[in-house]
Amino acid sequence: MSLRNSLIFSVRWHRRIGLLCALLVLVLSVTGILLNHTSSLKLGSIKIHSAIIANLYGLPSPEPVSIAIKEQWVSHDGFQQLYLQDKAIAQCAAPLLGAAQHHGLLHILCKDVLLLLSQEGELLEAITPVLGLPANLQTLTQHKDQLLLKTTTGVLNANLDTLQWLPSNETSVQWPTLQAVPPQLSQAVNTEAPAIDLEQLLLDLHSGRLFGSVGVLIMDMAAVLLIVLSITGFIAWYSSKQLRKGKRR
Amino acid sequence: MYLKTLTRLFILAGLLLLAPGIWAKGIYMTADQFLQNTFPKTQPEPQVIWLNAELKATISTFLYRPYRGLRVRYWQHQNRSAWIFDEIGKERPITIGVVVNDQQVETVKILAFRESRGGEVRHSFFTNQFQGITLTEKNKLSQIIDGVTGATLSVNAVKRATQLALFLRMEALKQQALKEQSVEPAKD
Repeated sequence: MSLRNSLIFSVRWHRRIGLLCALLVLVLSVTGILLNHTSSLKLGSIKIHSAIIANLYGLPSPEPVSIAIKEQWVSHDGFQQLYLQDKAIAQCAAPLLGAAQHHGLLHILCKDVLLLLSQEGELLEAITPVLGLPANLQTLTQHKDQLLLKTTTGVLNANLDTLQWLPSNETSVQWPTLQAVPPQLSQAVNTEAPAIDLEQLLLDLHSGRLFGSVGVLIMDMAAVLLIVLSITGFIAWYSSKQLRKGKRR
Repeated sequence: MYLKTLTRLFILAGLLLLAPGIWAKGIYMTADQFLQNTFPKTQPEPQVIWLNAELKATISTFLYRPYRGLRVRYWQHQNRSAWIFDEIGKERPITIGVVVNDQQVETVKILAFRESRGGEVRHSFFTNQFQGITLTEKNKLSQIIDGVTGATLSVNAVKRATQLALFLRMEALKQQALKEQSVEPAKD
């Protein structure tokens, strides 16, 4: 290939490839610059609540639920936060399984933890499987002055003073039902999409991982195209330099 | 030649991945087993120590976080008391059992370790260092605990749990003494 042809070829492909990967290079450069200053920009502490982004991460949408205890509502935002009426009181991992008042205390059962709270919602104690909380719990209620726990295999009578969980023969027990958050509390109970760190988002955008394995392949392609760009750029520069040299002679 | 070197490298990488301490997750002892070992003859019923705002504030100075809850369970028989806490190393809670005899640490056991690194703290070469330790006036451990390379956060979690057990034991003794005083009939 003559120098002129090689110049035309490389410039033509340089333009085409440049145009093709312009957007990807823009994404790579901007995210790269921001990631270089993660600490100073405190990207890790910036939280983004977006249903679309949460969807890209495969995170489920929150399903807030409430349980009525006498005249009060115990609600859970579907992630971590518990509410008594409109007041955030404690945290426990979803799902909320049940809530009951027993001996003047609020007993709230979440996944793998039984929280004991005062009437005002102050946390007294968290009873976890470490302290003997049985497995496979489904819900709890107060029945005839007993605290009953429903498991997949039967009903247990809980004695929280001695941390004993004895089988119970009670059959006509009314278990609490989970309901949608009542309208008057829907403002207070947080139903935002799960938070994603901006740093994590930028990292996954930079690597393409945000869009799964296809995204990674596209970013790989962008990187390969950048290498090709540098080669075509070099060939174009070298060919035009040689051509100018030849003309001068 | 190259094949041999490559095979060796693969074996080395495999051994490193399987090295203890790197993948150290596991439950080593249930709370029941811990209590059974501590009180082999008669397992005492759990007792409760109540925390007021002042105690919670003091606890937060050495836990470096606010303590959630107003009461703590423990088991006691004569001078020996057993405490079980979940303390976070880096991201996941480590379940730590501490036995306090009078006001000295008798044993420290790691009941469950859920972090991906730092599981070396479960070994006796580390936990034995706590034997005989007391709490100073400034609520610090009376002896220096040697760290474990690569397990600094887990080491700190075990130290915090031990401090908490010793502190609460001291408070439980105070609360028991106050209770006995109030029950005792007034002397003429």
